[in-house]
Amino acid sequence: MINSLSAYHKDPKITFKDQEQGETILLLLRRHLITNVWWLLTALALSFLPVVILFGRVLPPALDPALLPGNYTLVALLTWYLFVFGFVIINFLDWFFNVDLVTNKRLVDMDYVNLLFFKSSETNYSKIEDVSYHVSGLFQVSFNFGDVSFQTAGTQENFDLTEIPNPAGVHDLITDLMTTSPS
Amino acid sequence: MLISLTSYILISLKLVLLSILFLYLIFSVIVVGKVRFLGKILATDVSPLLSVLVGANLMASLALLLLALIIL
Repeated sequence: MINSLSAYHKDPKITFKDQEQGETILLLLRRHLITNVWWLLTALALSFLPVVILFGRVLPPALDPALLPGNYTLVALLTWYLFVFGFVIINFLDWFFNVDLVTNKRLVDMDYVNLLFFKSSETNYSKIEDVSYHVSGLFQVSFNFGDVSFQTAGTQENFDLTEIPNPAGVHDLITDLMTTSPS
Repeated sequence: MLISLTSYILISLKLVLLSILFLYLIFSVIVVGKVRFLGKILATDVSPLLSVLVGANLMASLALLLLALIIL
C-alpha cells in the first residue's frame, strides 16, 4: 500500500481503464511528495486557528466567541474541522489521481483538474518528436524533481509531466522507449 | 430591543451554519461520486481505503447537519 502512495513507482501492480492486452505499466508518476507540503502546513495552521481564537483572545471584545451560547460554538467548531478535513481530502485526491503512466506501448496522462472535471490523454512513442526536461529553482534542484515536456507530431497536443521526481531518469526511459517502439 | 437584536443575530448565525453544512453535504456527495468514478479508471490497492475515507466524510457531514438541526 505504501508503494501505491509513491510518486515514482516502478512496475506498479495496478490497472487502468482502456489498458490494452499485453500492455504493462513500467512507471507510475505523480507530483513529487514535497509538493504536498504547502497544503499539509496550511491544514495544520487551520487546525490550530480555532484554538488561537478561543484561547488566545486575539479578537476584539465585541467578537469574543465566549459571547455565543455553547451549542453554537460547538457546531461552529465541528463545522470548521469538517472543512479542514474536506480541504485535506480534496488536496490528497488532487495529488493521488493526477497520474502519468509510462507503459510499454504509450504514455498516458490523467489530469484531475477539479471535482467536476477529469481529463485523460495519451500518445504513442512513435508520435513523440522531441523530449526535454528541466529542473529549475532551489527547491527542485534540492529534491530532484522537475518537468518533462514532449513535443508530439501533427495536431496532437503536447504533453507535460509537471513536478515529477527524477526527470532525468524519466527522460532516459522515454527516449529508450521511443527508439525501441515500432513506428 | 437588545434581546431582539441578540436573537436576530443568533437566528442569522443558525441559518448561516445550516446553509454551510447543507452545501458541505452536497460537496461530500460529489466527492464520493468522483472517487468511485476515478477508482474505476485507476484501480489501485488504495482505492477501497479512499472510498472509506470519503464515505466517513459524508457520514460526518450528515451527522453534523442533523446535530445542528437538533441543538441549534
